[in-house]
This record gives sequence, C-alpha cells and structure tokens, in this order.
Amino acid sequence: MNLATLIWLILLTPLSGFILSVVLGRNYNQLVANLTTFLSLLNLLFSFWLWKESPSGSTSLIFNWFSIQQQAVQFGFLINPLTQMMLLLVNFIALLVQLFSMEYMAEEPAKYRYFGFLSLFVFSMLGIVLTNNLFVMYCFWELVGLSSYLLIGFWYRKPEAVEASKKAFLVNRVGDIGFLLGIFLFFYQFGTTDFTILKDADNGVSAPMLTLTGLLLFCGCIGKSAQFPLHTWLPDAMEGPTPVSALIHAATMVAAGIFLLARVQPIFTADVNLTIAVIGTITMLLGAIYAIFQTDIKKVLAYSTISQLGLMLLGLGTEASVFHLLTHAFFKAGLFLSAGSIIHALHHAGHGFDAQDMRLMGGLRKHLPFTFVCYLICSMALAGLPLFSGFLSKDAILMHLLEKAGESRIYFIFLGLAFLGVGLTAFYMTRQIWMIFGGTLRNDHIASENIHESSLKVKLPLGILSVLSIGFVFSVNPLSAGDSWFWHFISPETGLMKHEENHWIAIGSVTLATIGIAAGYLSGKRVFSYQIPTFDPIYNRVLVIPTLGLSVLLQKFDKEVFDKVIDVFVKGHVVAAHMIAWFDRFFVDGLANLSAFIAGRIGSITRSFQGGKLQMYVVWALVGLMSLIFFVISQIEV
Amino acid sequence: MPILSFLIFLPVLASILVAVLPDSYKSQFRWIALIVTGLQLAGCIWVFTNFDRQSSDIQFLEQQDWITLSLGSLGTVSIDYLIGLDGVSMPMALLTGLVMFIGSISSFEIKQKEKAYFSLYLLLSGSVMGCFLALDFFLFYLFFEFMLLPMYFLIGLWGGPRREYASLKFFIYTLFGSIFILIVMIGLYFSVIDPYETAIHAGFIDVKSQMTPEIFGQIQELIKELKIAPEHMVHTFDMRLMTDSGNFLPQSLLSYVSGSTLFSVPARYLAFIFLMIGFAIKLPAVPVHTWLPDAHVEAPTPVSVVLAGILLKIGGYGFIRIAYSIFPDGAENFAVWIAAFGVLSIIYGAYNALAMNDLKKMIAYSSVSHMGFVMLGIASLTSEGINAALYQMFSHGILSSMLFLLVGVLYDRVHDRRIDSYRGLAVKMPVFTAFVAIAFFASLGLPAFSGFIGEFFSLMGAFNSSFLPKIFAVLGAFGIVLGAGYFLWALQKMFFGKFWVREHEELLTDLNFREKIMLTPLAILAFVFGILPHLLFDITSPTISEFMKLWIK
Repeated sequence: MNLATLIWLILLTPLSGFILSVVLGRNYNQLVANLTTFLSLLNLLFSFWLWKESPSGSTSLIFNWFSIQQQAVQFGFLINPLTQMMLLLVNFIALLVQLFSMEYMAEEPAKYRYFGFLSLFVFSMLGIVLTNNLFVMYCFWELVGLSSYLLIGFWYRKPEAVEASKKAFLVNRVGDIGFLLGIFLFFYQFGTTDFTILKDADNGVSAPMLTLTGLLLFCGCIGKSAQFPLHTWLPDAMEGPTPVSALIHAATMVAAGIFLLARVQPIFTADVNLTIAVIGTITMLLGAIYAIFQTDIKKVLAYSTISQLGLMLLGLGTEASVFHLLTHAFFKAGLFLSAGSIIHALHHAGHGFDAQDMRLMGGLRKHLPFTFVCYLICSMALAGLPLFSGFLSKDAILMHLLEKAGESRIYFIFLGLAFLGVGLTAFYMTRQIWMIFGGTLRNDHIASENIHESSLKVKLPLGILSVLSIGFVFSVNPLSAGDSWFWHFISPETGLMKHEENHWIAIGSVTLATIGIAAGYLSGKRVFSYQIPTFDPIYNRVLVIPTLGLSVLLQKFDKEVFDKVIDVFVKGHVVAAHMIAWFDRFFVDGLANLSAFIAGRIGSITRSFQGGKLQMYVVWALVGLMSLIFFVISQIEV
Repeated sequence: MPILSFLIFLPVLASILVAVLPDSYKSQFRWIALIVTGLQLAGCIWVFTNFDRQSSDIQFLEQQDWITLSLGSLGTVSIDYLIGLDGVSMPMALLTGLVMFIGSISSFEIKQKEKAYFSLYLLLSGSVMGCFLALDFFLFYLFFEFMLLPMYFLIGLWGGPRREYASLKFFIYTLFGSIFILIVMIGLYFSVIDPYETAIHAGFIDVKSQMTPEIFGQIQELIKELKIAPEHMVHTFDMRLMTDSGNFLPQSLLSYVSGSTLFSVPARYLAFIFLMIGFAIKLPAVPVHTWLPDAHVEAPTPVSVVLAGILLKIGGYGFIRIAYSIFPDGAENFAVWIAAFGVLSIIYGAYNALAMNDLKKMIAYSSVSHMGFVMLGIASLTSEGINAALYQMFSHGILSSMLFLLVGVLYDRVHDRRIDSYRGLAVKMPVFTAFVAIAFFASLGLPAFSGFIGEFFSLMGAFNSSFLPKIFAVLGAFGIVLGAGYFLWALQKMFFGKFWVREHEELLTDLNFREKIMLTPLAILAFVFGILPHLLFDITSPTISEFMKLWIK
C-alpha cells in the first residue's frame, strides 16, 4: 500500500467511526461501541504499519485543497518521527480508553453518541498530528475543541457539565484568536502557512516580527494546553465522563499545545522562549499548589495535569518536552482510568453521595488492590521517582534547563522553581494516595464489602498503562535519561539526547521528591479544608460581567439611541410634512381664499350697483359705454 | 433558450397566473410556487454547472435594445435589457434559486390570503433574480425598487403583531437608501458614453460586431477631445462600460479628470459615498441596521428566510458590482472607513446578539455581525478578502436561512421565541436540537462548515491588506469569540439542562417530515461548502482577479 493511501486510511478510519455512530444511532448502541473500538484497533495497526513502512526522516505529502486566485491552499501531511510517535500514542490510548468505556459507560442509554464523539475526537486529533500546515492545523484544532465541548457536555441534563463545556470552548477560543492572528502573521511573512519551510531558517524576517509571530502562535498553546492565565477551563472539564478526561484532558488533546510548540519551535526567538518558560513555570507551580487543596479525586489530577503541562513548556518544545509528553500520557491516563475505576466501584457499591469526594474514601487498598497497585505505580512515575518513566523525562527537561542556563542566567531561576515543582508534585500525590487508599473507609453510605474491582475491560487498560509507566520500558538503564531509546526514535540522525548528562540533576530531583513524599505522608491524615480562591471570580468580574454588561448597554443604546435618532429623523419629516400641509392650507390655500374673499368683497360692493332698478342699469350702462368710448378714443394716436 | 430571462420571468409569469386564477384553486397555489421556484433552482444549477470557470467574462449574456430616445443635442438615451452572469453574480443567483425554493417549502405554513401571498412571493423571486443578473444600471435599479413592493406587503400583511410598523420601517429605510443610488445613477448616466453605439451613430461602423480595438481606441480618444457632435453621443446605463475611465465625458460631473466638486468634496468621492450608504442600508451595516431586527421579528418565517438569505446580499453585491467597480478611486480612499464600519458591525452586532432574549432578534443581530465580515473583506481590497466576502455572503445565505427556519419551528408550535421560556429542549426534541447545534456551530465559524472559510479569509484579507491597519483584523477576530459566546449561551439556556417550558408543553413535538426536508439540504450544503471551498472560489476567482486590476496602476 502506498504511503498516501495509508495516511488517508489512518485519518479517515476514526471519521468513519463517527459517521457509523450517527447513521446507526440509538438502536445499535452496543454495536457502535464494538465497531468504533474495533476501528481504533485497526487504526493502531495502520499506524504501526506506517511506522514500519515509511522511510526514515521526514516525508511531506501535499495535495491542493483549493485555491484563491493563484494562491493555492494546500492540505498536506508531514510524516516524521514526531508524527509517528503521536499517531501511535493517540491511537493506543484511544483504544484503551474505549475498552475501558465499554464497562464504565455500560448503563448509558446514549452510548452511540459517546463512542461517536470519541471517534470524532480521535479524527480531529490525528488531523492536528498529521498536517504540515498551520491553516489545516487550525481547522482540526477547532474540531478538537468541538469534540471536547461535546464530550464534556455529554451528560447535557447536568447544568454543571453544560456550563463547563461552554466554558472550555470559549476559553479555548480566546487562545485561538491569538493562534489565528499568529497564522495570519506567519502567512504575511512567509507567504505560506506550511511550517516545514521553517527548517531552512533565516528567512530574512526581522526578529521582532518573528517574536510576535511566535508569541501569537503560543497563545493557541496557552488555550489548548490550559496554561496560565487560560487554565481555568480544565478543572471544570472534569464534569465529563472520566474516560474522556483520561483521553482528552490528560493524555492527548491538552498535549496538542505542546505538540504545536514542537512543530513551530524553529521560529522561536530568545524572547519567545523566555515567555514560554515564564508561563510554564507559573502554571507548573500554580497547578501544583491548587492540586494540594482539592478534595475531588479528579480535580487533583486535573490540576496535576495543568502543572505537568507547565513543566513540558519548560522544555520549550524540544525533544525533552516531547519525551515528557509521551511518558505523561501513559501515567496520567493510567491515573485517570484508575480514578475512573474507583468512582465506578463506589458508584456500584451505593448511592446518595459524591463518588469523587476523597473525604468519603479511605482504606480502598484492601477492596481495590489491583487499582491501588496501578495508581501507586502511575503516581510514582508522576512524582518522578527513579525506575519510573517520569523520572527519565523530568530529568531530560531539567537538564535542558540547565543547558539553557549556560546561555542565559535567568534559566537558573526556572531550574530552581522546577525542582520546587517536583517536590510539590510528590507532596500532593502522596497525600492523595493516602486519602484514597490509606486508613479506613470514611463513608457511611456504603458497606465496604460491596466495593470490588470491575471486570477485565477496566483492569486491562489500567495494567497496560501502569506497565508503560515503568522506567525499564523506556530505557535499559532506568536511572539514566540519556540511555533511552526515545532519542533514537525521535531524532534518528543523532540518536542522542542533546543535553549533557548531569547526575546532580537526578540526585536533586530525587531528593526533592523524597522530601515531598515525606511531607505528604506526615500531613496525609489532615484534610485541608482551606480552599484557595480560583481565578474564576476574577475573570467573571473583569471579563464576563463587563462583556454582558456592555452587551446590555449596547442593546439599550441600539434601542434608545439609534432607533430613536432614526425615529426622530422620520418624525421630523412627518412634522415637516404637517407644517407644509399647514402652510398649504393657510398660506397657499389662504392666498386663494384671500383672492376669493377679495373677489367676494368686490362682488358685494359692485352688487350694490345692481339694485335691480332698470333705470340704474341704464345709467351705469351708459357711464360704462361712455368711459369705453373715451378710453378707445384716447388710445388712438393720430 | 435565453436561460437567464427564463430565471427572471418564469416566476413573474407564474405570479400573474396565481393572481388571475380564481380562489377555488387556493390549495394549488403553494404547489405552483414550489414547482416554479424548483424550476428556477434547476435553471440556476444548470447555469452553475455550465458556467465556464476559466473565464472572467460575462457569460450567458442577453442584450436587447429596450429604450432608445433621441434628445437632439443632448445626445441619445439608451437603456438596454442587459443581463448576464460573471463570477460575482453566479453565487448570488445560485443562492437565490436555493433560498427561494426552500422558502416556498416553508410557505406551506401560510394559511391565509394564499393567493396574494404566493403571487407576491413569486414576484419577489423574479425581481431578486433580476437584481443579481442585471448589468444595466437602470434595469438593476428597476428590479431593486421592484423588490420593495412585494416585500413590504409580505411583511405588512402576514407578519406579527407590529407588522405595519416593521414593514413601513423597512420600506422607508430601503427607499431612503435607494434615493442615493438613484442620484448617482443619474449622474453616471450624464457622464458615461457608450463607445459602441456612438461609433454607430457617428458613422464609424454599422453594427457592433465590426468594432475593433483600433476603432474603440479612436472613439475613446475622440470622446476625450470632445470631437464627436453632441447629437451623436449615446449615453448609457451599461455598468460594464462604466468601469472604463475612457468612457467618461471629460467635462462631466463624475469623470476622473474633470475634478468637479460638490460641497467642496470631489464629486466622484461623494458619488461613491452615496452608493455605499444606499447599499449599506441594505446590507445592513451599523448604524443603519435598525430596520433589520424589527423586520425579522415581525416577518413570517419564509419571508425572514428570504430577507436574511438573499435580500441582505444585494447590499454586498452592490458594493462589488457597482460602487467598487465604478469608483475604484473612492474605494481606495475610503477603505479605512468602510473597514471601520465593517468591524463596528461585527462587534456591535455580536454584543447586541449577546443581550437578546428573543431568539429571532438574536439571529437578526448575528446577521449584522456576519455581514460585517463581508464589509471588512471587501474593504481590504485584496483578492482573498473579496473572494471571502462573496463566500461569506453565500454561506450566510445558507446558514441564516437554516437559523430562521429553526426559529420558525419553535414559533409555529408554541408562538414564543423568548430564550428564557425554554430549558432542556434536547430531551424532548433531539433531532431539532441536533439541527440547531449544527446551525449554531456552523454559524460561529467552526471549520468544516462554510462560515469558517468566509470569516477566516476575510480576516486574512484584512490582515494582509496594504490599505488597512492590522488592528481591524484583530478586532474582527475578537468578534469570533463573541459569536461563539452568544450561540453557545443560547444553546446552553434553551436546549440543555432539565426540560422545562413556560407553556404549551404538549405542543412541543420534534421535527416533522416537511421541516426535515427543508433543513437537511441546508445542513449538507453548509458542510459541503465548508470542505470543498473550490466549488465557489473557482467561480469567483477569475472575475475577482480581473476586478482587482482596477487598483493596479
């Protein structure tokens, strides 16, 4: 099979899943679920095939989509190791999540919709991954936003879910405006939206313009990857079904921002990099701090995702970022699915309480041993403990920062704060595990013996993702990031990590993680009742309320001013018309009346001459005749 | 067969037929309208498929001398029956056929005074089509004015409670605007000479086909030097000739070279402004938009569909076909102002839509916002901007028709359009909700739907334009967020959450067959034109690239 056919197959298989779900509908719920999951498996195989078949290095396939004048808008694919990795990753996690969903969503009456939307998401995500062109990427970027909207609001009877879906879409749109303008500016300077031209750098574009372009494109990343200050949508997005959170809001969609950075990274100037690092650091710390104070099991993970995405930003879109994206996808999806398994188990054990509230958990290690082990492994990967995958990728990012610090001192600050982030991560994860699994059950609504593990459909994905969070999977020497096969995969030419190994980094991060764990363990029994205020009220007051206020004001203005002005204008004409009518009646008509009146008066005067007496007639007739004769005679000139 | 005349006069003849048929055929009128608009649509599709996509010329040209009046030393009046299609009018004609057909399906709801209704509807159909096909200014103006009459009655007789007010407002506004157009038309008439007819009158050639480029140049030279006797001068309303500066009498009011001023403003600029005001009212652009929400709210569903789907486009069409083609100098000079009003419409319309509690009004204001993109795209004077403006008009024609039909679905059942009267409709009307979601997302500029292409490239045109500051594109892009805001907000309030209706819960049933028949093709078209933009760009591009030469000196 030739390359192009294969790529089209990979892109269109999930779309066909979506179309199937729409066509088959509610009556074939289970069939749709099975079919779309099967298609995911098929697509994973296609992706493997592509990986085996395609030549090493990068390949571009370009088709003309349409053209305006001579300007052709192209629809192209870029196949390079990054693409291959993302294809495998997205398809793989999608498959696991669909498998998991079969059990998790078993009682859902609109399963066809759920699986259809998942397929739509995979299609849009693969579009982002495959394209070589910012315009096309923007199209799929928005479609990803749509599928995220549809999936967050899947339970549309729940007002919170609907509110969260709307918020996610709108906040993303704010970031997308920057992205859009970035694309315009990109086109304005390079005359194309194809970003593969970036390799032959130095296009004679001025540095400030490049900086601006980079910053605008970065706005897209801020929205989609839930970075400060647009991070607020992600915790709310947890209203969606938990497997969706695993796939979209942990492993893949939110990573699209990082992926975008990796794609356009060549144009980033030093200023852009610095901005990215600042935003990344703020987000990383902010997310970690918020995560400490959450009581909802999924919200902890959501804030943790925000924090980890911030850490990926600190890798500035280099291979180190991508490496962390990869490891994070596995362990965070594992954590979310484990959380799903817990929620599912609690849901089945009893009703009338919030199954996501960690204050109502405790002691679950005895009842859900498998989930516990998986959760533990994934958490250790997240905390960056040695022998787990997170350790490797975290170190890669830290080493990248250290290398950057060689160029510019300010990166030492970021490095220091990143260490702090590592400590905080270990801290909140230890506390969370303690709250969920440690101690005894703190929930009166359910009997603890009713809690039991779910079927294999739930366990299998958990198990696989946990295994993939172990360090050996990524490196034969799980204590050294540089030994990982990842570097061979992502840059076959060099096959090496670009940064110097530095053992102090590893030692430092492990030390901080250990301190975090110790502190977490010590404080584990205390539930923080303190809630840090979120940004939402501020945004509400500064952005949402003024916008709505302005809209009401403008609406009043429209009604009271514009319409009134027009009204007055028209009424003015009516008044003028009345005045003219008056003028007509009293003046023009008046003149006529006056002349009639005068004629009347004259008539009545002259009438008196006509007294009805014959003699008088004769007299007047004579006088008249005489006058006439005199007149005529006087006119005759001799 | 003169296909274009068929497109115009078939509905007009049918209109007369409906008018003279006795009332006992009452139940047949809707079928006559359906068949006639169906034939009109079929004709449009035939023309669309046979349209030569390589050519920028006028195609399917039909020319007939209509009025020729010799005025002695004042020259000769020549008004032609001149119709034809190029890349600018083709999408509009297709849209007209489409929307008129869908509107006639929707008109099956009309249950009173059918005879008058369908007669007027068909008359409207013919005159709108004529408006897009006319190439003679006089003919255009005739159709333009002729549209007002049926529209006035359609709103005024079959409308809602405040129909008299709304229809009068609509009428006065449009008439007010058309006076400006009339003034310019007369001015142009006195300024423009038809070199072909003049050559015949002056004895250079016998028939038009003998014209060669040499003679043409010679004639233009003679016109320039005023060497042709006044009685041989043939004045014309032919818009094709008005775009050529060589056809203007040198001393005339609107010629490029005379430099004449009115109220100390160059006469050509003033004429351009007049035309823009006339067409901006039709578009409508802020601040002359206030007739639109009232007209929409009061108009019956099919009339709303036609109003938003086609009539607004005459404004944008007039910009390109008349104002910009004949006064490129004015277009360049006022580009910033036009773009500013475009951006104002985008933002202002969106904010107003956000505040609306009446669903129909919300959609009316969203139209104002979407038409702002058309203005911005045209003002950019870039090929992508103007192509996108045409695209946006076509797309908005499809989407706004769909939106107004969807409002009609609700209004027909419960007679309540307030957004806060409904909650959780998705539970009771899932198919309806699916269509609303498609229409809303397509309208808020989601890729894969037609609206996105228009918005994206008009903003891109504005961004790349050498005439406009970049801030306009930035502000316009901000309108996209607001657009998402009001649509998603309405979706959330009306369709999601727990089901609740203010009254008449029992009347809320999901879409019936007829409604699905109307909505499905529109949804499919919105999608098709979203992923296959070349369907229209291939048609508009050659004409626009020819058109762009007006600004290359």
